[in-house]
Order: sequence, then C-alpha cells, then structure tokens
Amino acid sequence: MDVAGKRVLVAEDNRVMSDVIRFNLQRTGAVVTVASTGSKALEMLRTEDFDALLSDYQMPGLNGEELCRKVRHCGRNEQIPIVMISAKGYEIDKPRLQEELGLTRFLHKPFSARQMVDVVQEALSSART
Amino acid sequence: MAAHRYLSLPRRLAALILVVGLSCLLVNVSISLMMAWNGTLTERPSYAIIIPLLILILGACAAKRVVRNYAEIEEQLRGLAFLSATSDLKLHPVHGSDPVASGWNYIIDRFSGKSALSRLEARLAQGSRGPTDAPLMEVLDQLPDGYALTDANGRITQASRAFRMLLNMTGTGTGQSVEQILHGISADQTGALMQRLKGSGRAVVMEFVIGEGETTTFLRVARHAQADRGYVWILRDISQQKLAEEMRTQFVMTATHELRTPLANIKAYSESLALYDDIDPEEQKHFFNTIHSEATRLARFVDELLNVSQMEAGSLSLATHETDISRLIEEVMVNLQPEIERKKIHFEQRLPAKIPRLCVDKDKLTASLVNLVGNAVKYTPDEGKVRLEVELTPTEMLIHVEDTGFGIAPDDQAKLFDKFFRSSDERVQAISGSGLGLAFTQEVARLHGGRIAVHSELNKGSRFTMTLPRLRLQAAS
Repeated sequence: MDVAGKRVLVAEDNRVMSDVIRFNLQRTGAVVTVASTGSKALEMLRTEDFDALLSDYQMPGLNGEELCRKVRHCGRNEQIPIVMISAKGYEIDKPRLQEELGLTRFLHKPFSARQMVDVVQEALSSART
Repeated sequence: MAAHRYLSLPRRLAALILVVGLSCLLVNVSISLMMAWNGTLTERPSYAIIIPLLILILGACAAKRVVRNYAEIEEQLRGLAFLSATSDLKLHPVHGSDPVASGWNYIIDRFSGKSALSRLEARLAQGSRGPTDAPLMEVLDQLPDGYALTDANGRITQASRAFRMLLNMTGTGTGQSVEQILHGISADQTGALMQRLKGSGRAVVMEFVIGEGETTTFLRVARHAQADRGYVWILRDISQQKLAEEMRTQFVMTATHELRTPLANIKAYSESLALYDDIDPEEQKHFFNTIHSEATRLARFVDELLNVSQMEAGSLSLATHETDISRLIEEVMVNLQPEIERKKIHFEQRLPAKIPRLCVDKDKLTASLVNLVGNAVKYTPDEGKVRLEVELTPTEMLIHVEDTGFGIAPDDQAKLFDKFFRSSDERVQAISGSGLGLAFTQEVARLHGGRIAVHSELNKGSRFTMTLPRLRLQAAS
C-alpha cells in the first residue's frame, strides 16, 4: 500500500538502530519521528497523532511493554497499530504480549530492513480496515 | 529351599551306605541259595550270610557316626546363616576324623580362644541387625547427604549429622516428625509436599527451598517407604547445581542479546546499502563505518567469551614482554576517544612524568584498562567526568579510574567481579554489556600478581583501582 505521508513513531533507544529504521521508512515516503525513550514516545503519543508505532521492547525507564499498555489508555492514539521489536529470546512470552497489547506483529532482531518496511506497511493498512 | 537341600545330604549318604550293604547281602544270599539248590553248597553255608551281615552292621555304624556329625555341623551352620540379633549361638567341635569333621574342628580350633570366638559371634550378630545401628550411622554422618529414619508414625528414630544441619535442627531430632520440621521452615512448600506424600506410592522426591536471597538453600527431599518399618528420608543440597543452572540461563540471555544487537545493525545497514543505489556518498560512508564498528563490537564479545572460557578452564595465561606503560595507556585512550567525544565526557588524565617499563601482557592489560575506562564512560551520563590517574609507590603501580556516573549499590559491589553479573539498576540494564569485562580484568590483575578494588557510592560515582606489583614486574624484565 502507499504509505507516503503516513506518520510513524519509532521508539528505540539504540541510535544506530533508529537511524537505519528511519532511513528505510523515509524511503517509502513515511514521515518518521524518533523517540529515544519510552517516556518521550508516550509524551509524543499524548500530544500528536500518529498512524503507526514501532517500539523496541528493551528501553531504559519505560520499556516497550509498559509503553504499549499506557498507549492503549492514553486518550489519544489508543487504537494505533503497534509493531514491537525485540532482541529477547524465550524469556518473554511473545504470543501472550501480542494478544494482550494488541500488537500487529513481533519483529525479531536481527530483522531484514525490507521485512521491517513490509511489517510497518501491514500495520498501517490494518489501521485502515 | 536351601535349608531343605542341606538337611537331605547326610540322609542321602546314609541311604547310600544302606543300599550298598543291603545289595551285598542280597547278592550273597542269592548266591548261597543258588549253590544250595544246585547241591554245590556243601559246607559252612553260614559264612555267606554272616560276612555280608557284618559288613552291613559296620557300615551302618560308620554311616550313623558320619551322619550325626554332619547333622551337628549343619545345625551350627544353619544357626550362623540365620543368625538373629536375639539368638544365642554357641559353636562347638564334633567327634570323628572324616574330612568334613576335621575341617569343621579346625575352624572351631582357630576361633577356640574364647575372646576370638565371641568376637566372631559378636561381629556376625552385628552384621545381621538392621540399619539403625551405630556403626552405619557413623558412616552416614560422614556423608554430605542427610539421612533419617522414621517409624510408621513419621517420628525420627535416627537422623544423620548432615540431615540435622540441613534442616537447622538442634539435638538428635529423635521423636520429632520430619513433616513438622519442614512445616516450621516453610508451611507453603510443606503443604504441596504433604499432598504428594499422601497420594504417593513408595518413593517421593521433590525440591524444597530454605531461606532467601544470598543464603538460599535448595534441597532435594526424597522419602522412601520401607516394607514394614516407616520411612527413609534423604536430603541433598542442590544449591550449587541450581546456581550453575541460573548462571547458564543468564549467560544464554546475555549472549543472545549481545550477539543479536550488533548483528541486527550489521544486517539492516548492509541490506540498506544493497537495496538502494542512490544513497548519498557521505551517508554511504557512515553506513560502512557503522557496519565496521558493530562488527568490532561483535568480535570483542567473542573475544570476551573466549577469555572467560579460558579462565574457567584455568588456562588463561600471560604472554609477558617489557612494555612501555605510557604507550599502553595512549592506546587505551585511542580506543575510547570516539565514545568520550560522543558523550561529551570531560576526561582528565594524570600521569607521573616517567612511568617505568614493566614486564606485562600488553594485549590483556590494554583490554583490561579499556574495560575499566570504558565502563566509566559507559555508566556516566553525558557530559560527566572521568579521570585516569597513575600513582607510583616504591613497590607498586596504582591505576585509578574515577567517574561521576551512576555508582554501584553496596549489594552489587560484592558480585561485581562475578562472571555474567550485571546490576539490576534500570540505568545499567538499558546499556548493553556482557557482564564479562570486570571478571576478565580482575583475573588479568591477579595473573600479574596484582589486584583490583572498587569504591563507589550510588548516584555519585565509582573509583576502580588496579594495583600492580611494579618492583616484581620490573625485576621480571
């Protein structure tokens, strides 16, 4: 689908990773905003509208799971499609989280850039239906 | 069965002698009758009957003596075989000179001294008793596993030393119930245990946790039912095993994260370079540099893993050469300069005018100092301060690394040099790290004959000091 002009918020504390995500999403025409912590991302979601959220699981302070729980009750962007990225293994129960937090997808590190773009596009189109 | 076979032996022997004697008699009588019928038997017909009769009588007498001896020996042997704690067995010699009787008499003779015989009797009697006796308990007391015997009502009749220690019991514990002792330690866990014990067959095994935090003991509790006299309880301390399992899990988690993060970056950047032909040359260069630095990070982690596996195998050794310590420190700083600049850290270096050359393993010491200064930079917020100072005493060289970072909680300080340990402090957790650097650094200091110490205050900063015996390391060169 055409994602040109869609606003995507990326919550990722690893600068190296957020840079390459931004680069790839911008190439599809999306408008990308990066938040380096969970709290900053939550603040942005409370004040601005976004079409999709791409969040890392492991972040200082508010982690990805807590961020998503808060987003679902923050009064704005509550229905936003969310893609979670994680380098974690079996220590987190991914199917349960996906169900509970209403995640579109879990993206495992290391992921392919093209796959990441596809998943974000899928999330954006799921919001429309 | 066995007893029956033993008893039948002398009877068989007696029967054999009788059969031989009777056969002789029968043959002689038949021959005599035949001769009388033919008319050839003319004189002294009585011999034919008297001689076999004599053989029969003599044979019967001999057989009776042997059979009586055998029966006597057998009775004594049976007494020995089925000796019980209460029976009062006396061994005595038998009459006769046949091989079995003289063999038996020889054995009795060997133990004829009253004390020797009574000793044998005492030993045999002891061996035949149950496992509740003192000598067996003495052996069980030496074992690390705890053993206890309970009667049918679950009361302890005997408990080994380890059993009492593992359950913090005072006294012998006799008469107490194991369930109640466990209940006193943890009611919750005992509830689960009781459920299992109730519905159990012969053996029940389950884990039991005593205490919490640093002093946690993991016990494996096993109860085996005895045929008719209560239970045998066996306790095993499996804390070390649990610790090893926990460390392995922690390692897998850390390793997964430490490998995945740089890999994810390498994969995403290289793929981006391959996907788009029109990337700005400056940006392309930035991508290549990123791939390079992430690959370096990956390689460093693999090196750390190798070092630690060598440490565990006890085969981490030094390749020492005379080294210019000032140059070594310069190299450390070249390594860390990009990160110091990125985080806008105020770095200060205080070195003596002249640092002596020392005989050290240059690569390992460089890696150790990169760890120390790198940690200071890593765990200090942007624009904080990090200071590297070298101090010389007449015998030692002290390398201080001081920062104004997060600091380390007292509890964490004790475990700081353990392999794979990482503080649970959220600020630390948010930063990637293998938990291997300080374990390696401490080992390198130790291998050089030195040591490492830490002083830290939470939210104020930390100061690590590596001390090397410079006189010894100078002399070595």
